[in-house]
Parts: sequence; structure tokens; C-alpha cells
Amino acid sequence: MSKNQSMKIENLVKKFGKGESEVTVIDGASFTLNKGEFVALVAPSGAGKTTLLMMLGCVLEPTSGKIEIGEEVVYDNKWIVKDDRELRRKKIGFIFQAHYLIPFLNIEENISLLPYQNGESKSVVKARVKELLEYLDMSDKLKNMPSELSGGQNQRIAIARALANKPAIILADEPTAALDRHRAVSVVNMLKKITREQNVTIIMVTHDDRLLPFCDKILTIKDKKIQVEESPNEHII
Amino acid sequence: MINLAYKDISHSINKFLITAVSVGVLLGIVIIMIGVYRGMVFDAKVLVNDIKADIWVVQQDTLGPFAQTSKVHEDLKNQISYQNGIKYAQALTFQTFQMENKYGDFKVMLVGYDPFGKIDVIDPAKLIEGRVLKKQHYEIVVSKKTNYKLGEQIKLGRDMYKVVGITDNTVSNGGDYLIFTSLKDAEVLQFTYTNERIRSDESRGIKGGNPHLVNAIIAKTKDGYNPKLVAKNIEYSTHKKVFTKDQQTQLLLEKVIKKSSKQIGMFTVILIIVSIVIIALIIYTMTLEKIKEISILKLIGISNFTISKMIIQETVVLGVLAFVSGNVFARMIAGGFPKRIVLETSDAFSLFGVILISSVFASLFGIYKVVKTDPSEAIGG
Repeated sequence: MSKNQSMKIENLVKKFGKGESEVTVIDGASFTLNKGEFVALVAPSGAGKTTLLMMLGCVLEPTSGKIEIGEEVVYDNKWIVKDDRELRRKKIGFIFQAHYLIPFLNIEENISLLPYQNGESKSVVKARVKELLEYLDMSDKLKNMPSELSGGQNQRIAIARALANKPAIILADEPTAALDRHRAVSVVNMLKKITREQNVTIIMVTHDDRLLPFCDKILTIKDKKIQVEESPNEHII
Repeated sequence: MINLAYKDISHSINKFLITAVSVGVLLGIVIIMIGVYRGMVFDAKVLVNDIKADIWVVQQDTLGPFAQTSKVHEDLKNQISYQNGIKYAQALTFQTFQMENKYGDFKVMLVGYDPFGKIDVIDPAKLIEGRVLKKQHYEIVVSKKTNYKLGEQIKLGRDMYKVVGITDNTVSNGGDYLIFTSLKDAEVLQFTYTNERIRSDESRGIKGGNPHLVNAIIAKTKDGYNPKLVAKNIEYSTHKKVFTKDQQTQLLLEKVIKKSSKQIGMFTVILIIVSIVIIALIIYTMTLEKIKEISILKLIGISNFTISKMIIQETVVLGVLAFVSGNVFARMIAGGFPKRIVLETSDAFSLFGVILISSVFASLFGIYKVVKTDPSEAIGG
């Protein structure tokens, strides 16, 4: 096991249904991701992107296989971790198509929710929120409500929330789907910068081929199998 | 830690308050219903409590004079007066009238008593204007709610009566206002018929006139005598039915208002159940409205406990606000009811306990939804 490894998947299988109605969606996926990598997950609609993402996020139980997050085996033909939600809270961040911030919490509260749930002290949480907002150039929005910010600003806050618990992996489900080309590139650049500076692995689901050159690796689902390839180009941030 | 319930309520405070006040109005009706029941029990005891008698002598084999018709001869009072342990005795009549004045028509119970009798029939504490009866004829004491004024002349039967006193809070066991005349006048009102009726009776060979029948004889016992034993003794020697004051009160509660109070009690229980169901539905709907946020919270790792705590806290706050607004609403409208509404603090707090416990149970629907919510709903738009 490499110290630089953030996630290792071995022979992951997911089947739905039983008997004649059994359908295999993911068949023997294996790959390793390193810390600080920006990874794209690409597949046609209905190929199993969401299924794979949910398994990687420990939301959906695989049929068989092995999942390691960091140095911890979390699934080995059965869940090894007892509390999947605690695992997500501590090791995985999520970014969605829409920002999905909690509308009744202000920006500070949205970001600090997870660290508080993890038992962090008030001073640590406040410092973390301040640091993240400065990092994302949103310091002046601390007390704003999500409804007072633009879509792009809210997406940045959603990124800050995903980073708040210092996760090993961030799963981003089409974070640029609702954005125009210019803003999509801006968000992708920011995610790439985060992978480098925060040493976190981001797996981004995307349908937009134009964003692939920004990524370090591309995971493609084809015929239920996962193909891993290095990105053709390295875009300068 | 962030209090999610507080934040959620603060974020939609107007909506939350309107919901709480709406539930409060429903609870207010429950409080009023309890008040109607209490008022009924209170009214049932007013007359027996106001009349300072220890013993009620009524017609044999009856539960009179309130639960059943009772007629005894007026001179029975003399026989009762001489019974062992009796200090004073006097006769009473009760009859209902429909009256009308410029404020509308209303039902009254006329109590006829001897103005020179030694037992207080009108509670002095309830006489707010004027005086009690001091003449054998043409004087009347009325309840304040009849709206008659002191000195006003009222036509009853064939005669005019002058209002000499006004009482407050005097009602019959049915909640009708009380008016008081002398026993002689009451007998005239009861047994004097119209000329046509008298002619009709005479053609049938029926001779009219006052039969000097009354509804009950009341008595005070001498100091040191047990009213129960005195009553038993009178019952044995006079072949009449005799009740102590406590027994008469019990009769009123058990025979006269039992069914009505049961009906109101059942209606109150149904209203409480409806209120609980509505609170449960509101909490469930409030939870459904937040289902996307709940699935996101679950996905990012927030525990069921934290989310369920938010649901329970919101339910409790809703229950408390609804209770407070329900009480305010009930107290605002209680005075407008034609019959007595008794709002007791202990009832309000009992209801509060029931609503609070029920609300927490009702929130289980919301919590069930939280537990069942699939965090993966947040993924995939």
C-alpha cells in the first residue's frame, strides 16, 4: 500500500435484482487513485456513473469487491466500517450538480456543520471556516444566506463545505452541469487547484469532454468495466 | 453545535407562527369544550350551593325537584319544622318561563320562596344591586344577564312585578337565568290559568284554585345534628324522599347533566385526537418539504439523531406556541358564549401535557421519514 494512495478499488461488482431479472451494472472495477489527483468519471447516461459514485461514497453497498479509502479498508465483500455516515463525515466530501446548501443555514453554518458534527471545538471550526472562505475568496459572505448569493458563489461555498472536514476524497457529481463554458472552466480550475494545494483527490462526474484535459486521470465505464487512462493534456492552472 | 431546529424556524418564522396559531385555534376550541364541561358542572351546583339548606324533602319515590318532578303540600313545612334536629323549614317552587324584553327572549327559572323564611335562598354575596324580597307580592329579584334594571316593572302572568334586586352568577342547573318571587306569587303564576281554561275546567266539573303544592321543602338542621341521620329520620316518619345537600348535588351531577357532560367529554376527546392528527400531519409535511435537505445532510454524514432532534424540537416548539395561542384564543372568546365557560389553569396544563407528549409521538411520523430517506437521493439531481 502506497502512502500516497487515497483510494483503491479492487474487483468491485454491483448487481441489481435476482435470478432472471439480475442486472450487472459494474463488473470488476479496479483502480487506484493517488492523493492530489483530479479524476474524471465519464460514461454515457445509464452506464452506471451514479451507481459507481454511490459505492465510492459508501452510500450504496457493492455486491462484492474491496474498497480502501486512504489506508483503511472500508469494504471487503461486506462493510468493514460500522458507521458509514461517520466514514463519510470524516473522509469523503460531496459536491453536487446544484449547490444544495442548507437554505436555513448561513454560509458559516453550512460550512461548519460537519466539523461540529465531528466534535471539533468552536475555535477550530471558526478558524477552518475563515481559512476556507479566504482560500475561495468568499470571506465577505460569512453571514450571508445561500439565497443571497449567485449560483457560482453558492457552488464555491458547496466546495468549501466539502473541504471542511479535510476529506481524503471529494466526489463531485457533475458540478459544472448547470454552468456555462466559462464558469465551468473556472470551477474545474478551482477544483484542480484544490487537489494540488489541499492534497485531496477529486472524482468528478462529467459529460463535458472539453473538461477532460484538465484532469489527471479519466475513468470511463464501458461495457460495465472501468477503463483508466491518463489525461491527454495537462492544463496549466 | 448548530441548533438546526432554531435555524429552520428562524428562517421561516412567519410560516411557522401562522401554522402554530392555526393549530392553537384548534386547541383553543378544545380548551373551550373543557370549559363548557366545567361550566356545566359549576352551573349544576350553583342553586343548591346558593340555597343554604341542609336537607331537601321531596315527593316520595322521586329524585326531585331537579332530576325528577316533585310535588308536596306546602304545609308539609310545618310537619318538617317539628322533626327532631330541624331548626327551620320552608317551601320552594321551581318553574321555567320564557321571557322577552328589548334585548331578546330568554328562558328563566323562577324560584318561589317565603320572603320571611329564615333560610337564605338568594346568596347575599351574589346580590349586586338592590335587596332581597321583603314583601309577599309583586316584587321580583332578577339575574343581571336578563338585562332588567332596578325598579323596572315586569309583566308576569296577569300581574306586574317590580325589580327590587339584581343578582350575578345565579343560574339553574340547566344554565338558565334565575328570577325570584315570593312563594305566594309563584303559586299564583303556576296555578292561575286563563279565563278560557277556567271555563273549560268548570265545564268538566274541575274546580280551580290554588292547591298549595310546592316542589320541595328545604330545612336547616340544628347545630350538632348530622343531616344524614336527620334526613333518614324524616324519610321514615313522613313517607317522603329526603336528601341532604351533598346527595342533592350528587343527583344533579349524576342524573341531570351526566349524559350532556359525557357527550361534551367525548367530543373533547375527539377534538384532542383530531388536533394530534393535524399536528402529526403538519410535522410530516414540514419534514417532506425538507426531504432534499435531509437527504443531503444524511449523505454528507449528519447523523439520524441530529436530524431527528431537529424534528422533535420543532414539534415541541410548535406544540408550545400552539398551546399558548390556543389559551389566548380561548380566553378571548370565552366571554361571548351564552352559557358559563369555566377555564381552569389545571385543565390547561393537563391539556398542555397531553399535547406535548402526543406531539412528540406525532413527530415519530417525521422521524420515520428521516430514517427512511435514502441519502443517495441527493446524488444525480
